[in-house]
Amino acid sequence: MEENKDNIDSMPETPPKKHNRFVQYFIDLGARIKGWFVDKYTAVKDFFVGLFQKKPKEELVPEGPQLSRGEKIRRGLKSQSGWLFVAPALILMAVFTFYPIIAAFINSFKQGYSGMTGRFNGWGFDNFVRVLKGDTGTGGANFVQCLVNTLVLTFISVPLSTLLALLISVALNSIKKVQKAYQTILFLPYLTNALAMGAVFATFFKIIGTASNTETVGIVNIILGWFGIDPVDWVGLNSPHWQIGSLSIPWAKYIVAIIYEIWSGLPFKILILFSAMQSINKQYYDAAKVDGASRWTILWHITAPMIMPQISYLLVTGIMGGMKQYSAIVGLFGVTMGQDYDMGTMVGYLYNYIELGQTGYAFAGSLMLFIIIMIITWINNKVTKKRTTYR
Amino acid sequence: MPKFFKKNNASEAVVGKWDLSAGDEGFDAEKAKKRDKVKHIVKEVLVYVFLTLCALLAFVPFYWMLMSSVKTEMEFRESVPTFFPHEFQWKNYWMIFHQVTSTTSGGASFGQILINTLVVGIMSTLLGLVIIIITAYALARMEFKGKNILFAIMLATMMIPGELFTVSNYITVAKLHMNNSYTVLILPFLVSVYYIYLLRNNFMQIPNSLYQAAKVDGLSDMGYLIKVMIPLTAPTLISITLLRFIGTWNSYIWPRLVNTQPWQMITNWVTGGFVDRMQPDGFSLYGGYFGSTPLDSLKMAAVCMVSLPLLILFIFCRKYIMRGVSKSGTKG
Amino acid sequence: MKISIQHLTKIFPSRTKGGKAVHAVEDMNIEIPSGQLVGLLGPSGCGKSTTLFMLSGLESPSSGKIFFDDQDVTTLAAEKRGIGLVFQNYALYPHMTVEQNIRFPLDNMRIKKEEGNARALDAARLVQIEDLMARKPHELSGGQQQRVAIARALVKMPNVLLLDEPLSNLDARLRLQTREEIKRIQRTTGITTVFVTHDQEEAMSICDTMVVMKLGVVQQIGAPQDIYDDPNNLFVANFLGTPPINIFKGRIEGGKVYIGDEVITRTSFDDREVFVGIRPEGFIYDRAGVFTLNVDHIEVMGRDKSVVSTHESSTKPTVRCIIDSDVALPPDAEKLKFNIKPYKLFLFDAETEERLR
Repeated sequence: MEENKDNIDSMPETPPKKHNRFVQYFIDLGARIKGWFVDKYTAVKDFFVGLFQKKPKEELVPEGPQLSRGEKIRRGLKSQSGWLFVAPALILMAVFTFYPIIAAFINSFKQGYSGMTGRFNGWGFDNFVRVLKGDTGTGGANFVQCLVNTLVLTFISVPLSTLLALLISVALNSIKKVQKAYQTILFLPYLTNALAMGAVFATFFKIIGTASNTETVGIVNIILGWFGIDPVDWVGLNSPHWQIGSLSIPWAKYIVAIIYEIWSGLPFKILILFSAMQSINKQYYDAAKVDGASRWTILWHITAPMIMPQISYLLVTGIMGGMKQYSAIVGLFGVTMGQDYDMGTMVGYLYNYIELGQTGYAFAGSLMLFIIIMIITWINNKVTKKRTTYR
Repeated sequence: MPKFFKKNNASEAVVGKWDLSAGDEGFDAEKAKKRDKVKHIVKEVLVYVFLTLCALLAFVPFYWMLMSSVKTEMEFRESVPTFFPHEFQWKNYWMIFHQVTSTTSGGASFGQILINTLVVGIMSTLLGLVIIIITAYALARMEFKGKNILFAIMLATMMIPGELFTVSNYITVAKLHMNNSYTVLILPFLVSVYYIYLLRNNFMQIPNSLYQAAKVDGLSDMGYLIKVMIPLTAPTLISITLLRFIGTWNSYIWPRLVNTQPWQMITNWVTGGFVDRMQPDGFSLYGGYFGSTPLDSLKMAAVCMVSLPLLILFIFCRKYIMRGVSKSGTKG
Repeated sequence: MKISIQHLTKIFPSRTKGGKAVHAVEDMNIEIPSGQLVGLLGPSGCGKSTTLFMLSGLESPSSGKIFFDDQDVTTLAAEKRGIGLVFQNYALYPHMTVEQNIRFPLDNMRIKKEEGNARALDAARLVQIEDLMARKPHELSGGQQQRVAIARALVKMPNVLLLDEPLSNLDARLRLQTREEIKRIQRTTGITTVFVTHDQEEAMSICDTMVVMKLGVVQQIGAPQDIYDDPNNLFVANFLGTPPINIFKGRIEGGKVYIGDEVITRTSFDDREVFVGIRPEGFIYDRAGVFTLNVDHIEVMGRDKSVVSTHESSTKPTVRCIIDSDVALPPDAEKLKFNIKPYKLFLFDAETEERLR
């Protein structure tokens, strides 16, 4: 049906013609596919038309004295003086942004590439194959291990902390007294240095020392001890892990990292969700109250849908940030990212190979990180396209 | 006529299934009031307990960090941790200040590191701000050929993870022999497309009539930028300044890659191990008992040195920081 | 459901320290018989909306009691009162379809799905939106949103239906249509309905009973025509009627009512300063009339004509008289004389502004 958003308002109040559900499905599908092409087409067309269209000149001075040649040139230059203003930014970006993008694409296909000398053995996918196989022959981090770690940590900690942030925001929104004080305290962890606070968190879990009077099993183990749970070496050399083939699943370290990431991720999420909740019209809550909605119903059927744009924004940025995590891991587990890089992340992988002087692998790794992030962006765009935003 | 809404007689509707007595044993206003009140208080208390618990969990790491930084290493390692130190060993701080780490790469004292961080932080914040302002101004206010394409390309680079640049930049810097300098820490991060975008939008919200009025009053373009636009967007600029400085303060990876210890930043310093180092005058905290084992109480003191300035900054600039963060949040 | 309001008072504490507390509603006493359509009328800030929200249970009174039939509901929570409330901006949940919006109260009442569907459809039919069930609120016109809001309020079969400024967000044409619609729905369901408005014409046209309020105090309660014909005080007389009533400064001397030097009518009240209110339709053109007006111009409306004139004792800049269009007026007359219909003339004490009865 040609029914689109534009004419809904002007449509008479007659119901749309009803089709068989099956037929209707294909009609809708067709309309959607058509709409997709039309959207893309007009966007591209507008862009190119805009490029070549001459804008009407404002500088026309039909009356008045004829301009001298020098004056004409001067004015012509002045109209382009904007370039002067953007030049510093442009030059810096050319060196540190545009060139690196191109270089990354080219250099990752150079076999055995050495950044310093510029020597390489030939072109091909060799770097990618070796990176994926873990066959780099350097004793550095393993890409698959790093990828798994990054994905596991991200996709557990981000939803959890978003959910927790939602609950805290709701609680914060429902109180009146000392709301500001709670808000401030809850925001504190935002302004911290990941490495520094990672080190603090590590001490909660660490077993330190050997002598009887200079030994602690860490606060977490002490608390677990109250419930009769034996101390676990959370971050140390004997940290428990599962082995799946060549892949190691250091679950104890995962737990530590996830707890830290939830702690450090909460403040930003609370800030965003809380301010979104504050801007919801109070009338919806009054209406829901009259309609007899319970607190729970209000949360899931009114508050949550109303702040859906913010929730999805947080999920997306959280996942993006999670894919690039590194500093926190160093803070928690040291520069070697655990034992033999078993807590390595994808970004950690890059730096590891830069430091090892294997820039070819670093380039290949960075390109793969780029592709993964692009895929996430693409999925996000797909999902958010469907989402309606409310007034 | 819908069946649910039919009247049976002139005055009485069929509705009225509502049991206003709201209880089995008949309606008692006092009782209901009391019950509702109790329910309300219980809920309120639960909410406050939950929030207080969360606030505690948010705060405890800071408290632990502060307290541990003045404990002796013995006390830090006690099997039942103390939540308030028996004795305050302020010498921990003295020790980390006099700790010249890793002599292999020249080593660096805390003073040197702090100077590095402040110089790089201030320079990169100020220069960055200038570049952000003039670029945003040109993009918002000036007309020149290719402006929109330029802006589109700049925005497109935001989609690409910064790590993709790092590898090439590392090589570029090495080839230009810029390692071990402040320049290498400042230059690559001067342009921040996101802040340019933010400020450009801010500039564009300023009504054109103000510009025309300023022209009539005989203000030049530059004068307009400095006397009108910058004051009007001051809150955003302050937020950008603060967030940029915090960002530089926290930078870790890039300094580690391109510079050796004496040229690194405070966050690099904190990752080192801190030991009870015998001083030239023979002083040491524990008389060499722990040998060269890194001590956690000393590390906590170092962590405090990194974290406290941020916390103090937050206390004084809470409004701007929170606004900046939430703005970049909702607009990003 | 009969509603009775006894000594209802609402005081909002002052926002600033040491400021004055606001008495939004003061000692309100009303009996609303079952099945009536009642309008709370008054200028903004008169406490009418506060009253409505106290009836709904969203605001709790500072003192006084509210009874639904014989049950004291003063402290009962909003959701237990069995009321339907239509908000001024409708407060439709934007993320739910029309059907989900209407079903929302039923889901909260844990009503079985089949019955819920039937009731939602019934409510939608009642307000004639059954074809829009799958739409989202933003796809509807203002009038349609209004109907959805009413359906959502009705679907739980409320004892009392409350409407907050139901017509204020609609354009003029829809306003006429919708107010008839509200009347029809109320007649069909027989639900006791209370609505709030600042538009006297709107209230007059559909109310069974009208409550006129000013600054938190009830001024007069009654059928619209009764209040119009028999206002309690100057405020009520002034507030009702378009064009509004003409008010003159006058006095009573020896059983005669003077405006300026002219004796308008006789009265049995004692001598005093008064305000004389004369409805625009209360003038009869008569060459030998008792009251002289300086004519400014005459507006012809078709059915009748309106003489716009001035008078030095008038409290308003112009005096408006509406007379039948077939009454011939002398052209270009600068002064015209009128007689006054006695039941269209009201006397108010100049100090208390109360009606002399």
